[in-house]
Amino acid sequence: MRLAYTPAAMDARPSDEDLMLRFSGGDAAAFDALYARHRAGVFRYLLRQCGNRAAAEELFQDIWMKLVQARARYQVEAKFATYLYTLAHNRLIDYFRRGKGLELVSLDEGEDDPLELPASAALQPERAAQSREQATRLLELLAKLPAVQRQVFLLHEEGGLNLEEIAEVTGANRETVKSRLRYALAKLRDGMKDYL
Amino acid sequence: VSVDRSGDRELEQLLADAAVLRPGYRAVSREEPPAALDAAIRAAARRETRTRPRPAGAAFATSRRIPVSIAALVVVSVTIAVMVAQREGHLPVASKQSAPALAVDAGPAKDQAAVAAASGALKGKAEVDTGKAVLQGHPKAARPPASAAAKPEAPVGKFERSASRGGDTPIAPTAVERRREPLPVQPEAEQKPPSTATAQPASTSANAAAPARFAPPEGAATGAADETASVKSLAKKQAPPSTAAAAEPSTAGWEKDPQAWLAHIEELRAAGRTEDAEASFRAFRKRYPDYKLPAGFVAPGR
Repeated sequence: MRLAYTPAAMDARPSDEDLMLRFSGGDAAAFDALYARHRAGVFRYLLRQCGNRAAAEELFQDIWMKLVQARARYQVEAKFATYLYTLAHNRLIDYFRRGKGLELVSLDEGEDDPLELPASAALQPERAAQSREQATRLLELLAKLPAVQRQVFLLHEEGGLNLEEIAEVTGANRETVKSRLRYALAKLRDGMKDYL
Repeated sequence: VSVDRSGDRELEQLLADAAVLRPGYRAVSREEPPAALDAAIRAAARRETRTRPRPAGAAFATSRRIPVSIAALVVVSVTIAVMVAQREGHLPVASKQSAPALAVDAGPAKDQAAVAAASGALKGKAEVDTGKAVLQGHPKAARPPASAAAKPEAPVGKFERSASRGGDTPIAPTAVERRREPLPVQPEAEQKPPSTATAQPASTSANAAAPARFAPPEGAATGAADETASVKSLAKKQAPPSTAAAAEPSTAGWEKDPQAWLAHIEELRAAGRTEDAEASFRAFRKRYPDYKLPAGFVAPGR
């Protein structure tokens, strides 16, 4: 185990790769831990990209089932998150190729509607309304981004991937990824300038 | 790979500036998969960990092994049964094309045996019955001609029967028949009365030719025996009644010369073999009926 003798490994929680290796060895609890770490980020990445909650759930289940079935063949060749989001990226491409992912993100559907933010009791009604308006605006701007720019932004925000890892997932080179991310952030910041 | 550090710094600055967006994004981006989906995925993972990965081919080995074994057994059994049945003649081999194939494949030795059988049969009057049957019959019928002539309705092998059914159809002679045609029939056979000594080898060779081409069933063997008997009877009809004359070697030098033959008869009479001398004289007369006897010669028995 490559992290077993490092000080960081002594203190930190097990890495994603270690958990996946343990799961490959038959440790179901390791999968639970791994799943808990990445379930929300992967789901939101899919939701933002395909814009349909039902489709996102279907894709989400497909990806995790594929990961489960491929556990025996898993080898640590890269960061686990890169591996996981590569599965998600490929599955999304299949989804788009079948013509099911052409609709834009709908912000009004789903049980976890982001607009239904729990208002803090301390917040004044005006601030709560402003917060909802700000969230709506941000998600609208994100949905209007070109798909490749939105993808880079989501991989950075939801997956926590750096430029190299995003480049590995998407198959683009590092400079292209950096350019896409810069454009995405610039557009979001410009669109939200009234609220900043 | 050269890294554009100024570009990275610019990106870091942009990310720092955009950090103000992060709290807002985190505040609104809180969607999660439904609990039922979580439970389903976790259950699938637990099921997967309980089942050991199977080696490649294990599924085939367990699920297909028995049907494949049964199928292989059936194929082998049927193949062996058909081969044995064909070998024993219980099934018709028997397309019409297979007969000449058998005859041709038998090789030159077997052709010679067939030719010997045919020529042997042609040596007596039996040629009328047997030879014509062979030459006019189905040329592809690779069977002893005397057998077919002696007992056409005899229970022979199915192969023979199927071949004889097409006897009226004029078909070009096979390689065996073509080889047989140019063989000249010995003129002596027509002039000379066949003896039992010559008829016997003919029937023997005919019998020997039959198994050389294909193994004849019991009916065919019976037919060959009948053929031998018929040839013998024909030979008896044409042979002189005296057994002594028939016992004389047909290749004796004095037979070719009437005077020498008469001298031989005189020697027999001088030796006291009166009956032999008479029998020999009768044979002489049959052979040379118009020969004028010398003045001093006294015919035996007179």
